[in-house]
Amino acid sequence: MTMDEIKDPIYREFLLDHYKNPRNKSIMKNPDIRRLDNNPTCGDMIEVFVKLDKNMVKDISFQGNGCVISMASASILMEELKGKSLDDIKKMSTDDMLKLLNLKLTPTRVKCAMLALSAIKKGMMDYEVMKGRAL
Amino acid sequence: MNEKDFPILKNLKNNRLHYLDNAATTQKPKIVIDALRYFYEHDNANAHRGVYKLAEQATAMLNDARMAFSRFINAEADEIIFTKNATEGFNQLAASIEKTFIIDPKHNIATTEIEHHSNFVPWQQLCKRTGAEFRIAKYEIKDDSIQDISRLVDENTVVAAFTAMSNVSGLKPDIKDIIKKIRKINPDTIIIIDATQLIAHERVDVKRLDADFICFSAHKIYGTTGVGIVYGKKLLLEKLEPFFYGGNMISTVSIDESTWADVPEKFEAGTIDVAGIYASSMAIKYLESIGYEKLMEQEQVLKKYLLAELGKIRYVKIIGHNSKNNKNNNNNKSKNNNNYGPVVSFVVDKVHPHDLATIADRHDVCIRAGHHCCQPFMDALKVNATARASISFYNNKKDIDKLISAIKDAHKIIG
Repeated sequence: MTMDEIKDPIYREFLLDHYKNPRNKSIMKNPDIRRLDNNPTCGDMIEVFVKLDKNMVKDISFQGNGCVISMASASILMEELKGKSLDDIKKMSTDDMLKLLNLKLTPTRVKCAMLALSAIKKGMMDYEVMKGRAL
Repeated sequence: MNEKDFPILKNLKNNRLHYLDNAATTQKPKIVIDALRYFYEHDNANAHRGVYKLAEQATAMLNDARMAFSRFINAEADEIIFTKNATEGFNQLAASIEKTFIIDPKHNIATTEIEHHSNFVPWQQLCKRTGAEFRIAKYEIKDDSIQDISRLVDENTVVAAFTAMSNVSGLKPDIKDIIKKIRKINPDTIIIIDATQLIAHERVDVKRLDADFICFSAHKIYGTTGVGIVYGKKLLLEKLEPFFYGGNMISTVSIDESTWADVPEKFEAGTIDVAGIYASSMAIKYLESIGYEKLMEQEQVLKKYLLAELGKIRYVKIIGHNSKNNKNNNNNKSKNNNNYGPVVSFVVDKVHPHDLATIADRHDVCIRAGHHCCQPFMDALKVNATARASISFYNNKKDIDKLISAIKDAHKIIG
């Protein structure tokens, strides 16, 4: 275990840094995908924005308000997903997300960690339905 | 009254459980837990169904429990209906009222912005279905007050439903006064009170209050989960149509039609939680043996201590409670005259309530974080969520000290 892990099982420097200095936190103009999601039990709220180049993520950002895990996860996830394909995102699982965060969480807190990814996946579904309709 | 009466408080190895989430659910005295076990070991049978000794005994215990609850709130026994919780009570009332009365777009239903979803959503949805107007008494953030709901009542108001104590901030509107005013404006408006939070902290006397219906849950008053109580004035209960059908609530059933049992059975279809009701009546007996005056005194002392300690921390903002730290109170000199129960919501600067609750858990402190099933109230407070500490007479100053340490710890780690 690193010193960081020993100090605190959740509130580590790495996570707190993303919480206090979130990367990719901004509202995007003219996104291809835009989706709101929330965690009703604890008051976390997030809106995600994705710009696509064919089926690849060209740019991605979020806005929101919530606990350390939900906001830091969003910030970390945005960095990870830049350049990924929609298929890659579809395949991302809860375990993948937790590995990315390097965290073991209780079921309630897992919901916080998954909020951003959940919003993106829902946004992707909306996008695909819309594309299907356009065809 | 003794914290030793509550086994769970000392079940955490060597540490005490600092349980400050009593507004969510209360812990149970041994007398309630033992009663549940006793019932299943000695008295279990389906009430009102058999003539053998065991069934007669179960029926008698159910009747005794009903009597205990009715005496507790100064009602008659046949004015007490058992449901599975207060939420079911409100939903049942909404459904029965819709079945019994013609409600259309000229009518309206009034409630408030600070209600728990259980006493808000059923009325909202009833209005959507019938086209009736949904009138909301607004929360005033600058003096932590709620608009007088009687001002929204007119000759077309079918229902006025409001809380006796907020589960977010502990705010206690003067419901006796409000009910009087509503009666003067429209004596036919059905007045429904949410007593779910108040019932554990203040004597409720239905004859004094003059509400038409009062709902609460047993698990908020040291009883078991799965038991709710609806008090209703007898004449109204006799008028209301049931909407939940089946065994026990009928008098006769033929191919073409059915007739209903008398009140309260008319509203108790199926097998109700006899064991839970019996065990929960022991909680009533326990409370009566302590006396409301004594437990209120203890809770007031603890509430004052909690507010004082929270007030010392510059980065904590208390919601309501005439608090100096309450930045909503623009004029510190003019204190509002609100009354509050021992439920305190607060926000910690730079620390999200969810993170605070997680760190509090490390100190064995249980507090609630979130919107407390009051999203309209959160919107009115302009927050997404708050942290909430809610006191019972079995708490002590150490519980509060531990919460304060947790807040300082959280602010150090995250702030």
